[in-house]
Amino acid sequence: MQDSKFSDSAGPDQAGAGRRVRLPAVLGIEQAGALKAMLGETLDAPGRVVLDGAEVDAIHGAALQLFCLYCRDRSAMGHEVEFARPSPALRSAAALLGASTLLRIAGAAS
Amino acid sequence: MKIDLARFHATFFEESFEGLDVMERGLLQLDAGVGQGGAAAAAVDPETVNAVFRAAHSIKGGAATFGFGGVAAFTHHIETLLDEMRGGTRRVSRRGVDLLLRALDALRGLLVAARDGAEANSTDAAAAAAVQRDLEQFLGAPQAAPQAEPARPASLQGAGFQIRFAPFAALFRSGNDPLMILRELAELGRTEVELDTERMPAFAQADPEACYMAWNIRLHTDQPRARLEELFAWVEDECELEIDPLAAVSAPAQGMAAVAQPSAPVLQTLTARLVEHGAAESSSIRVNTAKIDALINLVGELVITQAMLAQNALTLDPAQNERLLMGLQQLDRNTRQLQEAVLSTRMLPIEAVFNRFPRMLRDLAGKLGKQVRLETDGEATELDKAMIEKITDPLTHLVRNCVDHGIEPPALRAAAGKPAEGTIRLAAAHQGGNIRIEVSDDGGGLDRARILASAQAKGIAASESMSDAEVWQLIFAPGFSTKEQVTDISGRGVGMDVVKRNIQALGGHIELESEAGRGMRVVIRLPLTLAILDGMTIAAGGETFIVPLNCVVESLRPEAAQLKSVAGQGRVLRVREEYLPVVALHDLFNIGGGAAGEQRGIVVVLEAEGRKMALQVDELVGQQQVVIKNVEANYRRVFGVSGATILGDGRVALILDAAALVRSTWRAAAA
Repeated sequence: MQDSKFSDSAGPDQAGAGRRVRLPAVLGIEQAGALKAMLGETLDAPGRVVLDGAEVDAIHGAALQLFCLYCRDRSAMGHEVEFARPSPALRSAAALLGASTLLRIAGAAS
Repeated sequence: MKIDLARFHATFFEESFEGLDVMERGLLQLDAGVGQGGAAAAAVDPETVNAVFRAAHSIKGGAATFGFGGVAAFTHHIETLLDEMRGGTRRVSRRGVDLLLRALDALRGLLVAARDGAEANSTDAAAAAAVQRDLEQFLGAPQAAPQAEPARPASLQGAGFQIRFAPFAALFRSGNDPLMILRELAELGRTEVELDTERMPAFAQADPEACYMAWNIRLHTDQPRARLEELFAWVEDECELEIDPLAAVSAPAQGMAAVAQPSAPVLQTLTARLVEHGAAESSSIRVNTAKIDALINLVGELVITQAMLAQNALTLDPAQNERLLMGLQQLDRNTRQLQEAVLSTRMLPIEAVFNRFPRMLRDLAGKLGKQVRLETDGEATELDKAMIEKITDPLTHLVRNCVDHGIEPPALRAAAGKPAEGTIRLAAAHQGGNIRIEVSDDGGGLDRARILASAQAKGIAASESMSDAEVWQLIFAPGFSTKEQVTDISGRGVGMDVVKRNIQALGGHIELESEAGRGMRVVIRLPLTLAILDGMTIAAGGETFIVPLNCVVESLRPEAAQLKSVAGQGRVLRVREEYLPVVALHDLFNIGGGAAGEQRGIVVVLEAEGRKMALQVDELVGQQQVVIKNVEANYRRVFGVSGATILGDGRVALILDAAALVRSTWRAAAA
């Protein structure tokens, strides 16, 4: 996975409010640095950030930890985060690590 | 920062090969524990089976983590069989151990192929496939004499476990993913996972490759605690781990008493293992040998600089420079100590080589229908890692020859009044600045008459007047031995010239002793390290040379009567009824100057490969330890020179290759 895929993936939410970030298919430990950089861009972005997890095919615990940190910190700042269309891989990883609640992923529509 | 999993591969393979060694040792112990007839003996140690299982489990886990699916799948079968053995559902039998040993060999082949980035070659792949088929068949086959499953200890029963799993920050960097562990855990039963975010820093401060998560998990399962321990075995030294029986946490009174009490020893064992791991972690680290070599090189330079300073200090007035000279002496001591300390970091016990022989002997003896016992002594003797690696093949060859040609079949031994079981002995010890390795057997020994006859038939110079030592040296002659001849002379010889060459390349010597009917002994002497050398400094025609001290027998100033010219053999020196060929160092390297005439200077008697020669030089300068620099790598191979060093005054001195000099001198004398 090239870093460039991360930098291209963030953009305005098509729905209009906040931003929508398309997550790449592979979120391995090798991509953790790039993922942090990408999420960092929207950490204090006002409004709602939608993380589109439809394409996530492989995910490492390190990536999920970053999502946890991101969601926790944004919530603390009073900003919204939402996982949209989480893939089975993403759902399963969040459930296994006990992070479904923090990420509010369990109820998200596929 | 990105994590490149490939950089963990080297560690994975290193640890996997260590794991294979552990497995092999354990299986050989089990093999000794089961009777020859295949019946299980009561003496099978469950901890040995566990140790073998853990090693297999680690290899499988690592292989899966690093994407070597083939290796993981193959190891899974081994693990399953071992799991049945340790669970008591399958008894430990000779057949099972045999199969596991074969599987181990195949696994080694697969790991080598994976490490080298190659497809397993067709022989390895076919062997692995065949073993896998046999394993599957064996696993699927009903037990000939099924053993009743032992009652599971009370500690292993119950509703499940409360687990606290808090990885250290470096967990991700070591190539582990808690997700995989929790996934496997979920397969054991129903889990309730609570993510502990207590240690998590702010997003901006977080290192994306550090693990801050921790978990409190309730696992509802009827699996034994050992199963959980295995699951965490791969990361046990990279996390805080607590496993408590769920009943003890949630159900008081009777349930707790029944479950918690017997589990204490298990908990103790786990705690002890974790403590042991912690201790091991703090007392040793893996360091790339290139770093150590760079350090050794630097210390070598420091020794040279120190020697230069010491030499310059000789011109100083001791009265006026007392404090400076004392300081230089202190520097001398410290430098030596530093050099010794640094060199010791490359030292490993020779056990690493000796450990491979029990398996080899078992297989060879079985194949040849012989009974052989291995005795080892001095396994803790240390020598340089490079030496360990290079001595392995020659020693393997020697031990194989002992079984193949030295030890007689049981019937022959019985007829000769010997015990049916032959003994091969491997011993190592430090002797002076060298290591002495001995390989001996109580077999038939070498046959002097047949060796002589065989050498003469091959056109190798040999005569009845040769001493025993000289006759034994004949078997090291290139072209002396062929397979047929080895059979004919009931001796050894295949590749012995290669063995000798390898030993000599390490700066070592090999000697043979043999007694007909009583066995033979091969003695190898090697320097402890290839980095430094104890040398005698000699001078010829204004040039300085170093002779390895271990090759110097004596030095003398010859009388005219001791030197004689022999037609066709050049000059010889008589030393106590022994005539030695004489070569002048001046002639050898075309050096002019120096004392003229046949009686010039001093003679240094050198010994190598059981032969001696006299080297005429101008002067003996002294003895000193020198740092070896490679000439071949920096220039080209030079006859009679094994390396070079830098002297205290900054000049370069060549280190003489005593074995090559002795060999060429005798060859010239014989021509």
